[in-house]
Amino acid sequence: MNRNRLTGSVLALIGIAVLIMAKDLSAPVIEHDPGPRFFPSIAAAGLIICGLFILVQPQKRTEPFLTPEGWRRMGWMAVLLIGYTLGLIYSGFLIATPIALYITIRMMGQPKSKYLTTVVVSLAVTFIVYYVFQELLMVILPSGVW
Amino acid sequence: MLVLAEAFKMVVQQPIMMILVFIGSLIGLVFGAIPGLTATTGVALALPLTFALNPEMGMALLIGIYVGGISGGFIAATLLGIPGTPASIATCFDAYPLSQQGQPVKALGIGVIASFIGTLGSIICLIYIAPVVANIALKLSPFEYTSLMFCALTLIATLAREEPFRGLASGFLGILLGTIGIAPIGSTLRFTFGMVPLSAGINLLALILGVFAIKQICVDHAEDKPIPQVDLKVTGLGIGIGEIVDNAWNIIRSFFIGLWIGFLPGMGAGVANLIAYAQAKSSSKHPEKFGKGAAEGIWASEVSNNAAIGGAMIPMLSLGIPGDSVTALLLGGLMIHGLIPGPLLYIKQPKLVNSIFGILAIAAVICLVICYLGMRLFPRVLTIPRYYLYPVLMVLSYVGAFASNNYSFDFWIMLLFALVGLIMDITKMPMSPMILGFILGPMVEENLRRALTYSSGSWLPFITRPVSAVLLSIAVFSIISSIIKMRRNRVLQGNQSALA
Amino acid sequence: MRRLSAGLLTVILIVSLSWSLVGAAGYPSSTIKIMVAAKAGGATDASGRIIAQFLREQLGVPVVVVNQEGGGGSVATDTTIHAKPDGYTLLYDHVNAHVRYHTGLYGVSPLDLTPIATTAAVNQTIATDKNSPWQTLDDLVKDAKANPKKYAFGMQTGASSHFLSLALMDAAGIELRLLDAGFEADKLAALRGGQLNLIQATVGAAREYVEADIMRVLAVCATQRDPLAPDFPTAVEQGYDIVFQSMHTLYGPPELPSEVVNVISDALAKLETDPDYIEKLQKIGHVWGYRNPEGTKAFLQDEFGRIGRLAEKFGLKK
Repeated sequence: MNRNRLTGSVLALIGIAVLIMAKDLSAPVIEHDPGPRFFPSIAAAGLIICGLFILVQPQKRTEPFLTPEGWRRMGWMAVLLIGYTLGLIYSGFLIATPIALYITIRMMGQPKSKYLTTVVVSLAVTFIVYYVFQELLMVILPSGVW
Repeated sequence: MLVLAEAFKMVVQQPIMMILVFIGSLIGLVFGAIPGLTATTGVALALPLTFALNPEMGMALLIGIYVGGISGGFIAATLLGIPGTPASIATCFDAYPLSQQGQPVKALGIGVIASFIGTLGSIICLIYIAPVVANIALKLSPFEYTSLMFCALTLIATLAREEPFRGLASGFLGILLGTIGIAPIGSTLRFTFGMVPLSAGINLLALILGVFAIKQICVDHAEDKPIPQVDLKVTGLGIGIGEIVDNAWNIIRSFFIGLWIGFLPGMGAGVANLIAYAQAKSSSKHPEKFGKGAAEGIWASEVSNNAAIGGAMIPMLSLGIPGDSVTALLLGGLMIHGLIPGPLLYIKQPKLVNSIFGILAIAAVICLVICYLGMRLFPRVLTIPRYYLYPVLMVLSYVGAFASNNYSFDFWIMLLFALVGLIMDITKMPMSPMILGFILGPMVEENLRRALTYSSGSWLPFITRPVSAVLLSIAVFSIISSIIKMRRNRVLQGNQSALA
Repeated sequence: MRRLSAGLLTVILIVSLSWSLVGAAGYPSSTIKIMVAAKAGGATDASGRIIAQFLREQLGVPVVVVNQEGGGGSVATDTTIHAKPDGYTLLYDHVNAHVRYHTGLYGVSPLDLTPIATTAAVNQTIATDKNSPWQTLDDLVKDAKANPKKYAFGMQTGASSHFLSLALMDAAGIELRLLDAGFEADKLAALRGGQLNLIQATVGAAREYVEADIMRVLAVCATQRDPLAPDFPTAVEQGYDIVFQSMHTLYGPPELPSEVVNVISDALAKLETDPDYIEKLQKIGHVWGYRNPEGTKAFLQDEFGRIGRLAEKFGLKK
């Protein structure tokens, strides 16, 4: 399956899914209002038509988006982001951020980043950001669940 | 110019006001420059501080942040390819490629000058034409709004000329994303999948941070691209007078687009920059250069978003109706002092209104000076090793996603859209139509449905009301001309491949 | 490296643990967050901030306002409902909480939250264009009875103004065309453009527009005249029982201990005797209307019932 076929069919499927979901939306409350399903249905129909056109487009030769090594790096980045998000929600900004910073700097900076500098940078950035936002600007940062 | 000079003098004579405007502008620039923090966030955060000040002093701080926040957005857009604020989304389309080509100083120079022209010009319009045009805001009906927004939406066709179906599909996706949450007119929940946070709709800031910041960090890390060589030896602004003259028409057009969009209640710099950009591309002699470092695109985006400032202040000062989200907060800042802005503000509080003019002008000058001095400094950000810069950017993106709504759900929205952005990159779907659709779609729907209830279901007023009819004809014309240009392109391409 | 990060973690854990231990000493001992179900800069936000400032002075701990306007306030309510009932997360909302529940926007009843106090109210008016033939509510009712479904009332569906229009139709026995007109600006434009005949406006805004001679107020929907605009007649004195205030209420999460409720409520009760704060509230168009926890509960039950009845009668119940 080439890239156009896949892209086109996924877009068309999204459109169809929206059309089906829109059918269940409630009827309008106000007279002469076309209701909440009107607008998404038009956009979904448009999406289906575009999807079909993309589907039949002849495929031009494309370069692979990333090398296998690139995908591996991307995968680790994804793990890191999900981990940091969970960390922020459950353990709070002050704990999750220095750890996430440390790991990210080490991961991105192999083999150039140094242990000590990384620790100092991680802690300094965390506390500066925390101080500026929480103390100066009164933006409440995530404090974790306990 | 007399009023402006007098207003200017009035503020300059009070050192405390000058200090407040300076602090405000500086905070604003920082907020504008940091992805995820916007002028709106900055003003919202500073609002409680102004309760303790008198109204003039409060306005000095808040308006400083407003002008700084809109002006500062181009810095991150240029250097990092991440819009510092939604007002600078279109800026990164061309300023980032230009800076990656080793010319960050030139890209920043355009941003500095364009921002200043936009702000100052719009203040002059605010002072001299506000009382005359303000009432237009009260004469426009949902019919005109619908047609105008539809007209703007057809610009998707312009943005997507190279890949028409992918571009349109991206636009439709954006429109669909905009329908998530509480539907306008009738307020039913739509596509929330039972999730309470989704009833608020998708947070624009989280979306932008996802598709620009987080995605960019991931892709750059995965590709392990070398850091571009940056030319820091440029003298002056990096741009000549000739360049400004060449772009004169582009600047004027973008200025009026920004002023007008800012003036319309509910729309601000975030919409203006995209529309001005698309319009610049569609009128350009070299539309194929857009997205690859075209100076025209930077001019259009940065002039228009700053012009929206003065535009948004017009209905706010003359009618008490906010032109955008920041002016809504400024109204709050006045209200807390018992000054309920309305048609009588000019008559009851002439001194305050004059100070506001002066504050705006001074904030524009301060931003110009700070940015000019910083222009040589900012690109040094690019010389910071990526393994320090990107982790810090990542943390700031998270803070930005959280700060706008104080809801950790927005972290997941941000990550989801990083993924969406990645998939769109892989499948070669353009991003800008999606963002335009996401921002404009809900406005079209709301006004269209409202208009139909006003006319008892009749579509006729759209063509019988003159303003609406003109706007719709522009939309139709722009669609037809896009199709013609697209066909011509295809024929040309066909010839070329036949030759090859 | 491993030792270093382990050490780091331990230090952070100890610090945060000792912080939370200190926090358990007695209420209140740390920052109180008030979730405001409205965006920064609006009237609800402004009164929330004034209340927060007063509480800060009274309780001696930081009291911060956190705006969560999403979902018409659903998000703020959701945050509060799921917060620990320790008194450090509170909710500031008004009549919209009932509207959200009865129109099916948010599934948990606001009565499940712990009521702490009602604070300040914004009075709403029914207003018309200055060129309208109606001088009083009676004029409107007579005209509307003769011409059912002819006159258009501009409101925002699923918000308090929607129910204000229903309350008007219910009390006066008239039929109006209800049109969704969006926010202040759109409503005013539509009123002047003739697409609307009636709109809802806050007393503060109406006062300005009346003074600018572009609007006429037919009635204030409250039992007493608003001290901010004593020349506006109430609906009640014109013989129509339309009482529809935006009364702001401070809630806590479900199961909030009564000691905590009383600490906050007692502190708030003192605001009445502070002329500075009363003046601050008046400046933003609010009228002080404190009720103790029991009074608040009774008030909320009554309001909840009234909104529910209107929702049922006009077929909005979901």
